[in-house]
Amino acid sequence: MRRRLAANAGWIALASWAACYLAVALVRPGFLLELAVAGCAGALAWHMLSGASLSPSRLALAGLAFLLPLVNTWPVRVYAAGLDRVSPWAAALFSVSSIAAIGVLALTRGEPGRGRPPLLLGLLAALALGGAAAGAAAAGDSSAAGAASWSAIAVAVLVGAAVIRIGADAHSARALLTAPVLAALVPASAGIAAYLSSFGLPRSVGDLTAGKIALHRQYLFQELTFGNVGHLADFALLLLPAGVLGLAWWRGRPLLQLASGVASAALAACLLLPLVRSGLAVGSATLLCVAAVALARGHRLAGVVAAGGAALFAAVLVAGQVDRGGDVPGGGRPHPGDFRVTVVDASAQFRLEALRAGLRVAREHLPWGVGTDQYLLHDPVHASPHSLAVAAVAEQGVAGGLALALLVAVLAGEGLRLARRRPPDEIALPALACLAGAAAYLVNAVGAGALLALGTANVWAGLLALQVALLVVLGRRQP
Amino acid sequence: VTLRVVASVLLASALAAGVAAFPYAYEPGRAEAEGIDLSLLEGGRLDGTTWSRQSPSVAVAPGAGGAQVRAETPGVLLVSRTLAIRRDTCYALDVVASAPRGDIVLALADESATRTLAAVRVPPSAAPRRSQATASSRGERRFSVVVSATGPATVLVRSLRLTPAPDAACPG
Repeated sequence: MRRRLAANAGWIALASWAACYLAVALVRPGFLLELAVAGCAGALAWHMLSGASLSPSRLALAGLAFLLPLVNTWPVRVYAAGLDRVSPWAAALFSVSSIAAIGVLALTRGEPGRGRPPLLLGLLAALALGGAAAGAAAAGDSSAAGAASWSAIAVAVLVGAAVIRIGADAHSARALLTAPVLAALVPASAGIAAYLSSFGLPRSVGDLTAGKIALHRQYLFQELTFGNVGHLADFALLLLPAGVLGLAWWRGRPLLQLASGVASAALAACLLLPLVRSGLAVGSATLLCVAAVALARGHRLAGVVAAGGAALFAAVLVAGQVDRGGDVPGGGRPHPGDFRVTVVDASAQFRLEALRAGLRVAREHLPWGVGTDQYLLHDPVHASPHSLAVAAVAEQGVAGGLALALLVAVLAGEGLRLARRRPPDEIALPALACLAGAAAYLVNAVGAGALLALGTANVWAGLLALQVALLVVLGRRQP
Repeated sequence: VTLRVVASVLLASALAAGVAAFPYAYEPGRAEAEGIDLSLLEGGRLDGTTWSRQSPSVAVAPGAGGAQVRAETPGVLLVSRTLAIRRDTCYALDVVASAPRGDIVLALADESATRTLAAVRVPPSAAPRRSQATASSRGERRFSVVVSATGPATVLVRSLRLTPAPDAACPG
């Protein structure tokens, strides 16, 4: 029976997907594109994994990695909203990523001799969890802060622990990084489709600028992705290096190489279309580093694509500077039918004020912080300090700040280790993808602000944990 | 090979159908099918996910039983997020508001908030009044709500709601 199931697993998966597709066609036909792209990404992932002869736990881990970018797609959003009506803890504990991470870890029980976390990574996890717990205990609404901590921090720690425990060889590392890149096609294509249908195909930087100004309000673009153009940019930064380097590590597998290229283009569009300035700047610098390493190691296609992407980002960034300095419409009587929608907040000044307010909130709530996702209650004007470093101290107190500093130190240490050891491509390229993705996200997060989780949609925390843990695992592999 | 061929044909067809059906994504889901409450406040401040402030002189704060909007300069004050609507349906913008100072106009506009479809003027009064503006969604993908003032003004908005209305309520 079990053997028959395994032999027909492909047909079962295809039939299950087709049943879901038909159900969605009846209920919400507008979301068929998401489901169709999810089917294509799933088929590509199947193709990638079917020839890989991975152990069940590594297959499950790749499944978890594939799932992470999908945690804010429509059916999962509906599921999360239903749980949220029960209680914040029900929503957090039974979220898709939480169940999947616990399930993957449970699969590794009884597998002896698997990896143990290095001391620094163990300390990092302890600080992050301790800061979240202390912040939740000190918060006005401890239950909400605790539930948010589970989604944003504990699930990420579980993902990292699963990677460390299961370990990764060169092939499974490539699969673990390509799985979320393929799944990223789902939110990216939905966002691109929404942008094109709302604003049309941009033909100039002026069109992009007009679109950016319009996206100050909520359009379908934000509704179908992560609620905010900045969150989508952070997502793209995390996965873009893995997408581009997939062009190098899937040499000889043209379908996977093509899929990596298409996903990279889609992720780049997520930065370009909404003209996210900080994301473009960080993305350009990141791709430049990726290009340098890829070209130095003889991967011409990946190197040229990365260099081209870096140049494109820089050119659009320079040409698309938007003056958001306060052009207030309506100098005279407003004339219905002649509205002029504009952006009036001076962005840099607002961010500076938000940062000052964040530092004040952090100082006033030392040493425990206000609790995860509770910042808004303490600074309703700015809603966020626009820096992950300040947000970590403000919400998770001293321990949260130390955890972030340690995370940066771990990344820097692993980067140095990579540079010193000069491992072969099969280790170096996935490790570079992890390092570049995590570093790009963190630089943007500390400089311009980013979320670890949006409610139970913990795509950023999950992918960051996956990449950091994988980087550490790869750094300790003997060539 | 058979699985690969069947999967390829099925996925390609599904992708084409997904692209063709994508415009339906603009329509409301179950949560918004019966109407949308456009609350101005979230946690005691302007709800930034629903409203975009269009003038630095606009202040939004909790008022008696609603949200008080104060503006010192004329012009567009607030613009809502884009609102999901069904095709070819008559919609009503229901407003319960009072304007102790100045004139405030609440308008139902197109997706980009550049074209007025229907407008409600909240005349100066201390007591809250109910007013309604109706517009058809024919030819529109989404609606926006625009709040504007003709001069220094204060308005207390008790409720603001967009709901489907009988076809007869829409002119033409």
